[in-house]
Amino acid sequence: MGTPGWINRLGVMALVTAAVSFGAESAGAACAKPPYAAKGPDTRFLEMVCGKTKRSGFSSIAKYYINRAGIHEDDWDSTNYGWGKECDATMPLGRMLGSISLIENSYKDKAPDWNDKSPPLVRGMYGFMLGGLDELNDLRAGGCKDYPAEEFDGWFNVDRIQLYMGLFAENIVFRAGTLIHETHHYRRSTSHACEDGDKDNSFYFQRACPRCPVVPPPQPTTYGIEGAWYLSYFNQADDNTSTSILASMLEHGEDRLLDHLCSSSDVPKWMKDVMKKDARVTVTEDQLL
Amino acid sequence: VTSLRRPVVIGTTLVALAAGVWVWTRSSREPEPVSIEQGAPKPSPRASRRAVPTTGAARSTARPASLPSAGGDGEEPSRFPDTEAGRALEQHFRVAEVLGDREERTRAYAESLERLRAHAREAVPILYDAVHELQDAPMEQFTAVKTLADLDSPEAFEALEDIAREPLAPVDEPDRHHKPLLTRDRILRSQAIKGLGRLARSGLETARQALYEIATDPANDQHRSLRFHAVNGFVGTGPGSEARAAAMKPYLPTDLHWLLEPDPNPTPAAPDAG
Repeated sequence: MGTPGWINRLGVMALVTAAVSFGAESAGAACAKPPYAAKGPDTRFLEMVCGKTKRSGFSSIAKYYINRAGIHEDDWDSTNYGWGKECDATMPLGRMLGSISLIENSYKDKAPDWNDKSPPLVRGMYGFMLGGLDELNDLRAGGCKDYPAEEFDGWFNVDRIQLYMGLFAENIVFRAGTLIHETHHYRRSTSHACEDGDKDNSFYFQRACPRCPVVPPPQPTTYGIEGAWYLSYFNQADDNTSTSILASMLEHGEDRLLDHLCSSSDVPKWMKDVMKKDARVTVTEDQLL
Repeated sequence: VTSLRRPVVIGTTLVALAAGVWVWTRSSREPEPVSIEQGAPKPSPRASRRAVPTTGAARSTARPASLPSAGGDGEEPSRFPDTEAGRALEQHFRVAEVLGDREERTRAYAESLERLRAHAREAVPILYDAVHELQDAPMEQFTAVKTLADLDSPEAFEALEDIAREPLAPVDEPDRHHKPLLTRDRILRSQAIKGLGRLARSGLETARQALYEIATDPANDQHRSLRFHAVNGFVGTGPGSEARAAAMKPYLPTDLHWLLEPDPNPTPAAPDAG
């Protein structure tokens, strides 16, 4: 699934060289280190993929995720990031797999496999995310940055999603949202930097980007799809996989859009209602995006 | 697109190889040592926070127990002091984590909250401390602020105001979208502001004044969601809301003016699940 390791190394070296040459930030920001406290949803969703259930020839679903998402041993060391300890929710690898499990298992009639992306969004997101994900790396190559993740593609990068410690210290809902967000960027050349600085100007569409090698077709913005998933989860998740607090945390997913979109003039009505009312808003699937 | 790009990527990286080898040989790919600080309390990032006046003895003694250990759903030691308020809080936190039918969850949460209100005076400082000390447990940290907000009690006003006003790290424009803008600190403040909004709706004028100050604070120019919720809470509904909306208009960017407009066809709100 993933890019061969030697290509990775070359890409990493290029990045390191670039960092040295241009004085870019490479490491050093303070960020929380493992092991992280893990209970409740962290352990619950990880346990769901760490049993004896096999999938596609792998001895556990967690191992299947590892293969499917292009996670490689040389990107995740065992001591600090959890390679070989994929069922340990206090370590980065286990926490990330728990978030993928949340995305897969949060709908009662869940998708049978990642090829099934049918609605509702809370169901189809598993296919969108795991089908679109590849080369999921830990922070080893990128240093200890105090923010969650970024995605690299384009002429000067090896395509990959790079995760940092800022993500693993985050709660399971926003870890999942971040994976969805970065997967949406992945190999789409979508960016937040298309017009003025790094701002999205519309909820619904990525703007044509002069710097992008390929002009993306109109599609929901990365924040748009992330926010829609929060609400779909909020409204339609299986009760047995949600709690009052988990559901309440989802309300703040919409705040994320508000903080990042350059203009909120075309945000959909459901989002306005969610934010204005400080209350749950019921919307149908076709209203989401 | 990817297949066309891949050779270019490889070519580019090969060009960088010569310089990269130099870097490679001088610094191995081994990660920087990461200290494992299991259970070690972190210094509070809010050393300058205002003290929250308390009316009971709880503030100095009623601190949450050590951070919860990793583990499953087994019985765990209480996070809170062995007092009536501490036990009510422990029960409330467990209810907040219960899985299952939404209606039942909602009812259980409301009942638990009602029990907690009887101990609001003692519970508030415990919750306030929990917000600042449970740094490694974001869900529980959030639960603490949400509980303060859901109490809808004047006893919680100062704690909520204090949390809502704690400074946030400045936004770094060049990397704005990937910074942890809405990680826990912003979420906690946002939830606290919502709690102030509830108090304002209940008629607590000091809460409305606090919302006004938060809404007009220039520091929140960079934090649209905080300003949004402060304006929303300040304007509220009922008598005077139109005048308050007019007063707030200059502080909101034009693309957020929809917040100030009455909605003739509001989408029905589902019951609050706590």
